[in-house]
Amino acid sequence: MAINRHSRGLDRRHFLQLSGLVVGGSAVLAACGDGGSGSAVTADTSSKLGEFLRIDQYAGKGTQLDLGVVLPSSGSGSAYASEMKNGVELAVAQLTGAGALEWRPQYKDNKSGDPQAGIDATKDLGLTGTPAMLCSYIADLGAQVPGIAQYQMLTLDGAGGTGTFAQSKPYFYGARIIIPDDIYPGTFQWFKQAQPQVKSIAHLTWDLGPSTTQLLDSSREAITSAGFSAAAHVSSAPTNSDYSAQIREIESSGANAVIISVLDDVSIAAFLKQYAVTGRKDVVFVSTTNFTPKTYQTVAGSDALTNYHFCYDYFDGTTATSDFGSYFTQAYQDAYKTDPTSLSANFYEDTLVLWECVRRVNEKGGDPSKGSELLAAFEANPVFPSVYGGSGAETGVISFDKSTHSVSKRPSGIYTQKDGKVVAVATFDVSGSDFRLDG
Amino acid sequence: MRDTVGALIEGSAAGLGYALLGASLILIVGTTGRFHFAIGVNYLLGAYAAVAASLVLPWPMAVATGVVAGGVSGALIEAGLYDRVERSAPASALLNIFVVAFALMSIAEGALRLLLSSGGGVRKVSGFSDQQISLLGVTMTKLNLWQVAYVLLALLAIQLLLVTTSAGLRVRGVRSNRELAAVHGVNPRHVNVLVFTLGCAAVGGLGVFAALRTSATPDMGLTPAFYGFVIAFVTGLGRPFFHALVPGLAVGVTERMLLNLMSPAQTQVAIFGVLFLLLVLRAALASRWFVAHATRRRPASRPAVGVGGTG
Repeated sequence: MAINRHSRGLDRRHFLQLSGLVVGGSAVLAACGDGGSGSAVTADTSSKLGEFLRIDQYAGKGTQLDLGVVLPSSGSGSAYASEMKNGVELAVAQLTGAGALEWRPQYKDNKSGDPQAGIDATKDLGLTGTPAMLCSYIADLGAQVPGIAQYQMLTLDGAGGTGTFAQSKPYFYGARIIIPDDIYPGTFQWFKQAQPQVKSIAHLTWDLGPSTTQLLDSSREAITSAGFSAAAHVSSAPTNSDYSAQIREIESSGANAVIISVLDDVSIAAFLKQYAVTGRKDVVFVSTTNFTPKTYQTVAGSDALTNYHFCYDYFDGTTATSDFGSYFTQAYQDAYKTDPTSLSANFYEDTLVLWECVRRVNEKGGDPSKGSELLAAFEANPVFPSVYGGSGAETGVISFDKSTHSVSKRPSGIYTQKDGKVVAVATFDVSGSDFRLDG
Repeated sequence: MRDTVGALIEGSAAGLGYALLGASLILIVGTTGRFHFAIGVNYLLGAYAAVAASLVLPWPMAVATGVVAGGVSGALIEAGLYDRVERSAPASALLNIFVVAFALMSIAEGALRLLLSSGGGVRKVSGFSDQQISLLGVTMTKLNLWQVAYVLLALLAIQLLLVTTSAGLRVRGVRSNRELAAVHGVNPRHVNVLVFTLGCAAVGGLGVFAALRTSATPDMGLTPAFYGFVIAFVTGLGRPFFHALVPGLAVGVTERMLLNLMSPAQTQVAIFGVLFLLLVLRAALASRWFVAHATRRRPASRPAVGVGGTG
């Protein structure tokens, strides 16, 4: 009977058909791929962390503590998750190896900016009494912020910082510059000193609702205050991949520089690729998004990147200037056979920042499993060792503003790619202080 | 102000793409009754097949590869998945296939991210260099012109196949009356596979043009599937598939023109809000209540004389 024929299980013929499909499909995908690399790190029993950090009797040796880590493990930002996780894992292994606290990372997925996923992750961690958390996507675009305060988890966002909309929130601090506000002063100084032809500046960002209007308004104000003319300030839907309308508007506004903020790397590369079709070679592009050379090369190609610069607190295998930065770089390269990125550096040092808070609480005889005590220790002196900045034996520092909850000291710069290598063209700190032309 | 003519041309090129998506879904859904939301998978596979092909072939051949990949994957999805789902539980086939299609979208995106882990799975189609060209003082891109040509060619080819071949006659027969066509010896399952092949092949090629414009990304299939369904429903699933040209072009051009006046998010809300209202209006006009009221006769002024009156 026909019914019996259709209701039986997978027979040999169908199994072979299915196998053929899977193998064939995999072969096509393999042709597109170039192989990924897995990574793992074990406890570094010969950790030299004690040379750079104060690992003493209060370091928490022999004790364990949960650490929430909410990453974009799935979705469009999943490529970044492994960089962040690598930084966390390395710091955890080095702390344990150096005779300090053993963090127990509790990984959660925010699905690359899905607010509900962020809320669920915060609730899960909060209900289990997790005292500290590392997160991304500006606390998952703000949705985690109420839960962070409710469950009293000292939280650092080393991927997005506080952004413009999550400043001064209880228990939540941004561990990188505010993008784009913090890049304006240094970028405008660079335009004046190194790109004198730039008179009219456009701005391209993602349309994320009312906050976008605020962002573009403040950009116009910053541009005109700095003595430039504000050209087209346009936005694009995050799902958009065709930028011809935005390019047409920027072109007709006479812009000779474009600031690009919030867009992800694929979108920026797509925009640059389409802009290159206009044949314009004199427009200077400055973006605030993490530079992922491979993506930019894949999508945009070298020609489209000629005048492209990126500006933020950048870190790679060559930027360390202190012994601590070099130690981190070398350890990262040894563990993962690749160079560290800004995200891995941020999550590495943020894990160490939270540990330092534990150490301070221990030193005062408190209970580091309480987020409120970690916060008090953090705010008592919000200055911590950093792999950014510094010189030789002098370790760099990251410091936080207790009012805005963003960083008050953070080496940043404008970078570009020459002959396949990233080079700095200008460096400065938050608010454009310590500005210096390079290259 | 943007160059209005240029915006019109860009909008038309984008609109033709939407029209082809809608037309493909009208052909598929209107013939088979399957809500093939996984058309995004065919779009995606077309793009990635072209990425692989462009490593060894010139870009026009990569486009052709994308078309073939779209068509083959469409046929396999219908014959290997949807048809079996329907036969295993005919009563709930509509819902089951819709769920399977959604699952297929997620699996395809996840699998691509997993297999092409480096760079987030982003890949480019090699060998094509876009450039601006000016015709009669209007600036446009070479890629837009190629895409317009591709869409028109695809629509024409499908129409010719439907009108001039015996296979096309069978498709029209099944679209018109599935049971009657089966009585006349047409196998509806074969027709299903054929329309899936045609519709998905057209969409696979469209995916290649999206990849040529920027790059192939694992999540590139979702938005086109959404646009395709909206255009298909607004056009009407029972209409000839090329009728999708009107709403497709209207959406594409309006989208670009509205960007002069409002933000991208507001533009999306305005366009899809109007399309939603159109659908609601159409449903209301087709409702029994409306038909009954519109066709109700006015009461006669004088009582009618009975047939069997005494006279």
